[in-house]
Amino acid sequence: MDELPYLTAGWVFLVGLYGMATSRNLVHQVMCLSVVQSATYVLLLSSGYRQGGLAPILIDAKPGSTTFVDPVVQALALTDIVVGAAVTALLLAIIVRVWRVKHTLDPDALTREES
Amino acid sequence: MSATRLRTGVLLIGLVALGLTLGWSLLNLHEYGDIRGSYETQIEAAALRERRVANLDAFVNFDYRALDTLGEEFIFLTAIVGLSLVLRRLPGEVEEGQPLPMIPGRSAPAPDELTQWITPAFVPALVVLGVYVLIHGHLTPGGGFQAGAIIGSALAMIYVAFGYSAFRHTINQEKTEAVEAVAAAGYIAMGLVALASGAAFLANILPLGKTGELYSAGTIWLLNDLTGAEVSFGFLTMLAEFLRETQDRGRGDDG
Repeated sequence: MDELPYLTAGWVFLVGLYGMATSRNLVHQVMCLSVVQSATYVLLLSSGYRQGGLAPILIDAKPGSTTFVDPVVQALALTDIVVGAAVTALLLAIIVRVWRVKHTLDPDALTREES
Repeated sequence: MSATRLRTGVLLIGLVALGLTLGWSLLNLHEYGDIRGSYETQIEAAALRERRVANLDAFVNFDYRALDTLGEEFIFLTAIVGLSLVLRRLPGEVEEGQPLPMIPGRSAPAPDELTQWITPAFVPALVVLGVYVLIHGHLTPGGGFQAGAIIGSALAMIYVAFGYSAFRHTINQEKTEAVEAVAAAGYIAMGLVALASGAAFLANILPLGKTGELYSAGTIWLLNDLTGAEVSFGFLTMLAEFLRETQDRGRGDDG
């Protein structure tokens, strides 16, 4: 099963999506969004893996003679994590505001109140 | 609740369809462990030649993608500004300095003695670890963003063990905001200094040093440290904003 890391990414993505759609609490929903985002980390890192590759640190290893895993996707994963943290923080702040005004975090109850 | 069941049914149809297409496209990627890109080999060769930097991730982040990292930093900064804006108290809401009503039976547990014993020992040690990860970002795994997360989490322990007032006492939010802003501005200033000296924006303007030494890799370590300062103090600002909502109310008096 060489494709297992890719399929793991797909699985984590779908599980998170299911959680977001069926969530009964906004905080839980944001956590599910984080799960969806984690799928992208798995996909990025596994797509950059090279068989037998080392961490891309050149202290004791010379380029050319040693294989490294791809540092570009690792840097992209870092960007991904930072953006994920920013989005989560902002969404949680909005949820605090919803709680202040409505005193409920159930998406269904909030929709009912709207209509 | 047939509406809920209908909704779940529609969701499952969508998820199965998405799962099939997603699985199909994932299986059509290059074979796992067999990436073939010339970009990565060129980065490897250029890192030592151009910047004498040991950590290839730092090289990508603060040289090849330095402009993107600037954007990344400002996404973080903008999120914190937005968070402060969203969390401000409007007229008609619970007043500033007053705690929000809590869900009955869901108050924070009383801080236990063990946590209070461990925290004073762990906080300085974790901050030192964070600073270590920060200043060696161009040599070993780690760097500004990682260090920021470590330092921020370390200081969050103060809240966990001693509550909001202790956190408030230790962390001056006005100062964390100021440091955060100065660090973010410093990153841009580095780029402008490079521009003024006739090089490209964020190009290297410092001596490169010797690979593996602390002061090597030119501007990478400085950009890295500025990022670390911005992220750790930004993280603290974020925490202070969220923790202000709790105001210590309900700690242990609801159980």
